[in-house]
Amino acid sequence: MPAACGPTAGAVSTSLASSPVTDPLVTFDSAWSIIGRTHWDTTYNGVNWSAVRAELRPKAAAATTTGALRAVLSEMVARLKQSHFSIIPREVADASSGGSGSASGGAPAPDRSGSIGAEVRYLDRTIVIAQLDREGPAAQAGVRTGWRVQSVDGCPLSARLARMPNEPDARREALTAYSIATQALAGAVGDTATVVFTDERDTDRTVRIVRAPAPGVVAKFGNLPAMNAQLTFERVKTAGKTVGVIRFNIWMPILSPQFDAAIDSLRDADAIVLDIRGNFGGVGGMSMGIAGHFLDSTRTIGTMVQRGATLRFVANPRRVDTRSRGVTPYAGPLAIVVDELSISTTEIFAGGMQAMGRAQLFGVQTSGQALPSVPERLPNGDILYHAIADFLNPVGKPLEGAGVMPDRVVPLTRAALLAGRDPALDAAMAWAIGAITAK
Amino acid sequence: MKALRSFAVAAAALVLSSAPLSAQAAPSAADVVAKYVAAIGGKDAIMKITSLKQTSTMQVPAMGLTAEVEAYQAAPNKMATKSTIPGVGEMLQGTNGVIAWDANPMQGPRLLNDKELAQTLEGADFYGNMLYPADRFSKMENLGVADFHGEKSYKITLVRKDSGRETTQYFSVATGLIVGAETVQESQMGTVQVSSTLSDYKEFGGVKFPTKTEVTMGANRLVMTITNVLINGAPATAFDIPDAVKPLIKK
Repeated sequence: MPAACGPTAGAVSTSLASSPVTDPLVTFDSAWSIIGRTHWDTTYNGVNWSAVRAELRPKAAAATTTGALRAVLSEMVARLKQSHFSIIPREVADASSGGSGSASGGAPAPDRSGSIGAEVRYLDRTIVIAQLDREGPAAQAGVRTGWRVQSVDGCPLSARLARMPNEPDARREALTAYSIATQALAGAVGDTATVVFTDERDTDRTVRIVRAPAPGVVAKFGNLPAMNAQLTFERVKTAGKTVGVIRFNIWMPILSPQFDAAIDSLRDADAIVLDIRGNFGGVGGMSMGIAGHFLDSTRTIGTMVQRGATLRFVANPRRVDTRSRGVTPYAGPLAIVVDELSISTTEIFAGGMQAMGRAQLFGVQTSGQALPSVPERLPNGDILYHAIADFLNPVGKPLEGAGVMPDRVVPLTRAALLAGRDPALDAAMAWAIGAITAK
Repeated sequence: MKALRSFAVAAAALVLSSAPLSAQAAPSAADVVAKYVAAIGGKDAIMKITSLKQTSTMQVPAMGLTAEVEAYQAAPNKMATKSTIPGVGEMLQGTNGVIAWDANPMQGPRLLNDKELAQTLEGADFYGNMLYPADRFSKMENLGVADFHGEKSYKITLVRKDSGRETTQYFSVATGLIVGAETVQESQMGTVQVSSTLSDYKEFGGVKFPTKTEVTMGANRLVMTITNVLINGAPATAFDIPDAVKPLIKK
């Protein structure tokens, strides 16, 4: 096994971890105070926040490297046992590309913005190719959906997956496995990844894939790390009907005009399917604007409960198109496809649309990590990503933990992928056609 | 007796002299406002202004976001702002004195109604917000001297006549300038308690403007820094209804 096959789960970049740290207590106290004053629950999820400070402050004071301080800060936020609390290294937050580019104030982080053009999922404790960009490098190299990823550049994935921390929630385990696999598969644009797959005949194949720029556009929003944002849509003709299928991977405002344009193109479609599997969330406010395309009256898709303020996520009907012409919001059947990697704003949106009865959901239970949060810079330059509110769906049910359960649960299987099928999307399409007919 | 009378006279003198002392410690709200108007340049200087173009930055430190803001105001009641946020686009808000709008790339355009409309129209009240004429308020009361972030200030409660919206403003005892405000912000999402700190007054066209405003809204903090104020520099077209809003207006 090559020396570079170390554990990667959660370790996005370590380029500044060994750098000396100055004034660790200033950063520690700042992080502790920010959470102390902004956490919506004054019991801190049952955690004695003052005691946490008393216990961990001496450890922070003893930290001599950035990495050691980050470990203490990470331990502090982990005590809350809630989603959306983490420490983002500044070299990751400040990178200008979708991967981790040059670090600020440290050695340049390796370029990891290249992609093989494939989405993976954790199925049966293995990593499986779940989706391919038709024109992407992996598809061009002959890779097919359903193939298992065994190793990347000589590093077996199984060893890394075996080192994952014990996680009782299968959805969290799937997310960790996904992170491990995507980090292993990412690399510099133009570099070659040597990937060993197990194909449909359970035969191992070695495929050399030249990484290409990840599809979409690089989106940078405030202190959040740069991310690749991608939206695609197509018109699918089936059973004499037209179904518009829109996919997008993140809720970044840069995609809002693209979504608006997609809706303009699909206004005459008989039904619309939104595929938001693997969408990790993003800017919460965007969920209201997207919801408005499918609502004919002003509706509340959920409520954000902050300390000292309770704010409704209000969706207004979108009655104006991209050319400033008056229109009627899309009124046809709407299906939404979700999975265990549909996270945060994706859950807020999907849960809201489902609870209002405006959409039918297909796939599997979403991640249950849906706390509104902000990325705040600490004195040492790292980002404290911290939740500032709880979120309740339109009937007052918290999304954190529970997530959103589809109306029809349709799990993904390797067998279906090998057969070229997409069970959840197929089910959504079938429902949409049925709903059109019933109408 | 003489001593008692002397004491009584002295006491009376004290009472008499204490009355003006009380008045000095707690002047009427109208007096405080008048001192403020004088402190920022006086009514004559203000009345020479018919419009403004303010250029500023709006930071949201918790998000690492900075918006470039162009704000236009014109007498009697027009207002328009264009905030450009990297990664988001242009956010437009405004009123032509009759209707008010909000249009942003994430949520599209909408017309403001009810409390939001009333709040926006009051926010656009050009002279009302600089001169504090008594006819705009159903109540103006000085609640006394209070400490506002270390500044000894008169705490004045103001209730707008039209909307009934209550604001508490803090006027520096030393300078007469407004140093802070507290109110409830109405939005479609709900109401939020808002606290503002105003500082760094600078003179533009003979009138002082606070060039730094820090706003706390719930768990969020915003910092607005004005970089320039162009007096009488707002073109009439600045208040035109955006094209994206026009289809929403019922004929």
